[in-house]
Amino acid sequence: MRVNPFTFEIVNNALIGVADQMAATILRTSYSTVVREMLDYSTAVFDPQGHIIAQSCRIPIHLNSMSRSLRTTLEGIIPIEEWNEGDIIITNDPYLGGQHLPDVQTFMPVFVGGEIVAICGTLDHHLDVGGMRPGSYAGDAVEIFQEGLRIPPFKLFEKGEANKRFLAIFDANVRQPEQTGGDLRAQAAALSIGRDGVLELVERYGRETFEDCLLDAIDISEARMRAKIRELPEGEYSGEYWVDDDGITDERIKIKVKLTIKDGTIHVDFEGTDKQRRAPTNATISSTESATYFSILSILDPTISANYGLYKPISIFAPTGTVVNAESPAPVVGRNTICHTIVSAIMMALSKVVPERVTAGYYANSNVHILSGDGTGDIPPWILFDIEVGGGGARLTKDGVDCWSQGIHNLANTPIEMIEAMYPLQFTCYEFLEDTGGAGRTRGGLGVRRDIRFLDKSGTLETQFDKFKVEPFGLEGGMPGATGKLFLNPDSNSPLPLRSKTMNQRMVKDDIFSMFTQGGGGYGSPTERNQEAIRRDVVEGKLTPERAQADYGVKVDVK
Amino acid sequence: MSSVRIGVDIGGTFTDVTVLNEEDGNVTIAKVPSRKSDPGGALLDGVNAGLIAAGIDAASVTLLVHGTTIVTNAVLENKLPRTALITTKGFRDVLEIGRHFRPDMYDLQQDRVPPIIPRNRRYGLAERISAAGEVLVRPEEADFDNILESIKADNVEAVAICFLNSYVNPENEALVLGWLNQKMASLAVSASYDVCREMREFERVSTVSVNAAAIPLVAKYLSEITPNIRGVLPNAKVLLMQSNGGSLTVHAARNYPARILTSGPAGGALAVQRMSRDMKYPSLLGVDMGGTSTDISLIQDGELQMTTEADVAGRPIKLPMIAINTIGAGAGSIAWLDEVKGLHVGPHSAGSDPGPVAYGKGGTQPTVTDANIVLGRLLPQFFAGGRIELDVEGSRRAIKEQIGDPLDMSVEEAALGIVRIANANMERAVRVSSAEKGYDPRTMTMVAFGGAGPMHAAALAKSAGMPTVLVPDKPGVFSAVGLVMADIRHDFVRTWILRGEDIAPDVLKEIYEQLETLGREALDADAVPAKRQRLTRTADMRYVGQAYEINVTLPDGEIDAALIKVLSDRFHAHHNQLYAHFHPDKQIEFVSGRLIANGLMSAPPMRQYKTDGGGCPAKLGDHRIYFEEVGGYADTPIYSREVLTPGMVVQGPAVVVQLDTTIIIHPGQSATIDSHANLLIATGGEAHAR
Repeated sequence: MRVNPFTFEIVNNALIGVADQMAATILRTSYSTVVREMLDYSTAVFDPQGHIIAQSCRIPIHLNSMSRSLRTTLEGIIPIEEWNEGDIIITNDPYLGGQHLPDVQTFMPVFVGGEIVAICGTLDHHLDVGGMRPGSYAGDAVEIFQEGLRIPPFKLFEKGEANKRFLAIFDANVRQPEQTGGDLRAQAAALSIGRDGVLELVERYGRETFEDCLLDAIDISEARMRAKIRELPEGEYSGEYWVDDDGITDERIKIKVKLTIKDGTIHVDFEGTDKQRRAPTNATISSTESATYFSILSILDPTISANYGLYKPISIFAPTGTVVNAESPAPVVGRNTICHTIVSAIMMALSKVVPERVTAGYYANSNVHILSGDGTGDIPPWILFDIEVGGGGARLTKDGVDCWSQGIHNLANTPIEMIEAMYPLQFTCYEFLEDTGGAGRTRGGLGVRRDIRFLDKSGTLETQFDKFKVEPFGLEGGMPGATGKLFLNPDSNSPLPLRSKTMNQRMVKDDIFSMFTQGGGGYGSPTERNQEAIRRDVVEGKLTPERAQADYGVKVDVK
Repeated sequence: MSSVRIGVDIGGTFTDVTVLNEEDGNVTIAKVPSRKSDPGGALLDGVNAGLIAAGIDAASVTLLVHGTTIVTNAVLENKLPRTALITTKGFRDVLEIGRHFRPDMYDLQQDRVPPIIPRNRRYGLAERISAAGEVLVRPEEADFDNILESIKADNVEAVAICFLNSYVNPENEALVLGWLNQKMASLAVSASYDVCREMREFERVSTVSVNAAAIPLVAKYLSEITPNIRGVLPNAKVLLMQSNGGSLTVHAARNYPARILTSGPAGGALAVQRMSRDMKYPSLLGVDMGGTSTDISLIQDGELQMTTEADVAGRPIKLPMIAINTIGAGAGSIAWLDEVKGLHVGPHSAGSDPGPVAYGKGGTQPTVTDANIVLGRLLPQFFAGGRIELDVEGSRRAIKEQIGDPLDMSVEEAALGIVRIANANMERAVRVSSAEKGYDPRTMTMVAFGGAGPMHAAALAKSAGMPTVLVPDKPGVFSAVGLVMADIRHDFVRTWILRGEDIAPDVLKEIYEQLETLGREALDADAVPAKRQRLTRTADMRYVGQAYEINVTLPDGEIDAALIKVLSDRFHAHHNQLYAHFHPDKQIEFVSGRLIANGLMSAPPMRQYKTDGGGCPAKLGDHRIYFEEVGGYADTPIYSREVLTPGMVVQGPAVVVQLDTTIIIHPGQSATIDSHANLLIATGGEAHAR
């Protein structure tokens, strides 16, 4: 180590504190519910080479990809010499290190003595970035050009001056400039807070110590990661899992992964994964990397400081032109589905090595749904972007958690009262779905039902759901979790089942949009489940007596 | 005959007692062991010990203020009475689903905090209020009766009621509340509109569920203690300490037990506030370091910082509380190395059982206390008045073997590292508490109290750039001193969203008149005479489109256009202070009106001493203490706090021992005793001023 271990621990923690303070600024001052209620944003601190050093506790898929955007920018587009004090670089380009167009990243250099010592970064999921559908989640896009405004890295602020022309272009291309503009301002404010935090640390500990701490941080995480990998038996482990379909064709999409563990490294090979689609269910390389890093870190040791160091022992091969390394101009807004499925495939592969650390299959999708009003009624056009979650996969010794954020995202729900106060929508249900958790010695978590009545005159619905056909898998004899379902007007005389990826579905007054989210898979044979646990589930109405009998062979009498 | 107040704060291990003479401000303290199974008994023990210590007549006691953790403990241990929830049909799982994000991004083994009320006791009732407050569906009495049948059959003791959008229109909740009272009066009942009338259904249902469940518990406790107190203190009015820094009558505590959830640290914050007001320190930062955690509170311009976003053991409690940042860094925090020999301190704690290695009660992992012993900062002969024997060799061995040897360092270097990291953890919390509120800690004075606070404060403050540390006269029981100072307090809130031009005098008048009526009614019920009633109006405001509000105090006086202008100016300024930006051209949204109804207690003077003593105190002896500043051990004089009289100056390095704590003054620092018997350390921490 370059730095005294105590000073290191102190500076490293302080840097995480800086990322947290940036996150708090965004939360408090943002405008869209996507950011302020769902918490779909992230903040981080990077070294001058663009390696991530410290992250806030927000969205793992963002955090482990931001570094690639920044490095792509530094390496080919805006080299470090061209960064000035007061600059803010903006980008959302999935083909230059980003993930999908709504994820807008901003970066600000921190200068000390005329040189950059660190870079602060933020990523917000913006409510709308233009394109063919409100919310920029067009399920029927076949090219990225249909998905919205694509922003290659460039200077949103130059030496403290905002580029007003760009802001005008941005405003002119998005549907809710008031909200997206407000969120962009919050991102800029957070960067200044982050810069001040870093400056204070440098002032306090000296530049050399600060820089050495960054290097040590990477080395330590790398060493801890290698040590953890070395604990695993060497060998090759494969997993294979599926996406239901791409929404345009009905063919399922295969994600194939082979992990080679050798000498403190893991090589992850996606050979055999399906070709990219002419539909938005594609991921660019940064999404794939991020999902892979997330999976390995969370399975191996969640306590390792998540920074660039932990990526170093991991190498990834993702063949170009596949859904895990799509080539332009493939649309990519549905990359979440691919990424969650990658996590599941890796869990499956490593379940043979570390059965006590993985989970069975979970809902494995960011269940995106976007309701919008078209302005033909009494109120101006509006957009609600929301994501619902489902059941967690069972663990070796513990049940899966009912309806809880899992995998590559970590989203909060938006309060019903907040939505009802802001939009012409009214909820009719938000409850667990009994029997949706896969049976097992430990059972899968329950999915949830969430129903929304549309009160505007007319508008549309877009969805990006998955695991409607592919079941959340069980492990070691555990049963799969329930698949998801969507309906329009479920309790009417003519309920209309919707596809998992619904496009441009017309909504009129009093239509009810209803989601039944996926349950998690079970772990181990149901016959080994504790009788008291079965009884408790029946008493709580999480398991029906019929299914207790059918799945567990247990008769539970609840009066 | 003089009139006397007694404060009794029942903590996990000890019950702290404060006796305050209202005339001369004289404070006497006492400490008795807590009784886990019989808190009421400990209360009486405390009262008696206080009376004896102060040598006063029981009849002269006019007020007993009581801080209790019975609700907190029941919530932490999930041992609340059996409770049911009646909520909007289709939404009974809101309480369990919560906001469904996980606190740790990467840990696959984490679980959600179990709900206060299990699913089989959560009942959906067909009813609905729209977001605009319109009654869409009125509850049917027959449906309610069916639910009541199940509740009766289930031996439920308490019922919470929470309907969607009841914060706009509570009609349906009130209807069901009425049926419950009428049909089953023996049940404890609580409705969300009455407990916290605010938007966000999960946070509200969480709050009302805890409140309802705690009612039977608190009612039973109060009915046990009240006659006993009357027996001992015939003339005393009894008040309970709340989390909001005010006190509550027994009558109100029976209905709103959630308000007394985190009353323990509130006493400390209140004592800091009193210090601020009496001694003209506008900005103080309280650091209360105990065995397992440290509580940090902030006083700015004499006012406590408040929050409505607190939670207790992961369960949101949407009530105004003093904003206290509690971190898991205390004297018992365990030091450990990870697999690549990175040193960490906490979050695990050895607590008081088994405690640090030095206690010889089976603890094997080195703690912050052990590190302080190795460095010579905790003197075995003075620890707890010499009543507890410390195993100094045990501390050294544990730190040497588990930290020093693996890191190839001396045992002292390792111990110093542990203390530095513990201080850094606290310093982060100090910065979060102040910087997140937009205040610079370097302009504040640190008040150090709790058993371990004064040992760390001088180094901590210096490193945070804070020039002065104030160690009160009796730091170990400082929190209990806050209790006897508390005003009676009720908080009321009314969410009523208004934008821009709609924020007009007539509506604001209507909102605040409603609130003021509630406030006066509550204070009248507490028998607070009109001249001692003080009503303070505040507003939660934000820019249109933001989700989080900033609380701004309304100026006194008639609500008119000019007052509204002042209010919006205050909002812009506050936003700028918090987030370093503001938008005078953006529309403002008024979200909620709030009212603080205080029943004012008289504020007794702080005791004044003459400071003409001066000079150098006599030392008890010397002790070898290891200091980073001198790179090794320094012969350090030991002083007894008892002989330090106002006006005296102590040069560092020095160690000051007293019954309830040890104060470390580092080389290069100096300390003086002020006219209130506070010890003020000049930390030399101004170096980092911006």
